[in-house]
Amino acid sequence: MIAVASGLSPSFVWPGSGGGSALSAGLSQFGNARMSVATNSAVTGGYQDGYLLLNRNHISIHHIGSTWTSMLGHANMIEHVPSVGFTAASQVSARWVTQSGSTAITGATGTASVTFPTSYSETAPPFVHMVSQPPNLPSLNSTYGIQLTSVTTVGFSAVFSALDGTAPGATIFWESDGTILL
Amino acid sequence: MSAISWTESIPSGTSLVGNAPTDFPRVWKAISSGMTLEHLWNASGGASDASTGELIQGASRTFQVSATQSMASNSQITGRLALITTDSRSSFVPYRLLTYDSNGTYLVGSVWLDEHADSPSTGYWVRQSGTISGITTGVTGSTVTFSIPFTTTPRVYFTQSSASWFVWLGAQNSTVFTSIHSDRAGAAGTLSIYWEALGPVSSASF
Repeated sequence: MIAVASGLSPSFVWPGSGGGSALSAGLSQFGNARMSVATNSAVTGGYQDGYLLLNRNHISIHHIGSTWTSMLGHANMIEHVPSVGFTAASQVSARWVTQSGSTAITGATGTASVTFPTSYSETAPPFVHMVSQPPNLPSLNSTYGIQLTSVTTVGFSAVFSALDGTAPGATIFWESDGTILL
Repeated sequence: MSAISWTESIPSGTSLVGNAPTDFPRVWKAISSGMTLEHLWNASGGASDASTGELIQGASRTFQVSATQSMASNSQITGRLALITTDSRSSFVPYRLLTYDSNGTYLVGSVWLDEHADSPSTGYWVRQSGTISGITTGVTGSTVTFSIPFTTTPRVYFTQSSASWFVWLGAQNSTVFTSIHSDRAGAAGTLSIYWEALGPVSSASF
């Protein structure tokens, strides 16, 4: 029995008063969580459903699923420092969400309104940036200037103006970054 | 499972041989009972010699460390996880997940992770960025090839170094984009275009 308790002690702790005794029941030691460790090739399988895999080629954590393997975290991932939408109290219940899309504009001038596919839940508006793509590339005729006029948690509006007066229309590509409750 | 009866002195060196049929099962029951909170005996024999054991889901625990605590990596903890739960430097609790590898400690999870609302399916979302520099004259397209090809046409955004120029997005696909710039406003000097692209890439790019 001493040998058994000693052998398990790196991964298990016997917190009761008896050590490895009748008064003890085992608990997993802190740090006991250990992923499957492999290289790129294991990302496509090789471990059972529900396992965590550390890919040592690019330092990423993968979940081994029943139908495919998903990446859960990565050493090169972008961490969005808390600012808008996060408070010390709410940070555990919010997450940063990026949404992107495009909208067509027509006419020489006007206003484009976009509703986010998923509304942001914090009161502060998300960050939005845009770029326009004129249709008659590579000519610069009828390129547009665009400018945000309002941003809310549910969408944004932008005004546009054709720089040389002609109006073939264009596409505005946009991206928004904000917080949503879990 | 019967109540644990973990007595390390039984059997002892002086125990009667005749007590073996009683003592030996008691040993195995004691072990299985002691581990049953976090260990599963999933084979047909229950907690018997027909079983092999594995951790119950959720039983494994990460290290819990503070943000300022460093842990030297070594071969014994390679692949293990640590969860940062305290940080005296910030009013925010920086819940971050670290992994220890033999050559370093890496960030692999964060409560502040950006996630995209759209699923990348079997791939994953990637931002790529760069600079197109040295633009001095005219209306010219500059073509950039992404270092990692996207699986669909990404969103590409620009910031320009000079207000004397106009910059637009030209033709684009999953592997390249073209920026269009114009000095029609009477530009002087050199223009740099800082670009960023966001889109999904294949899991083969892991």
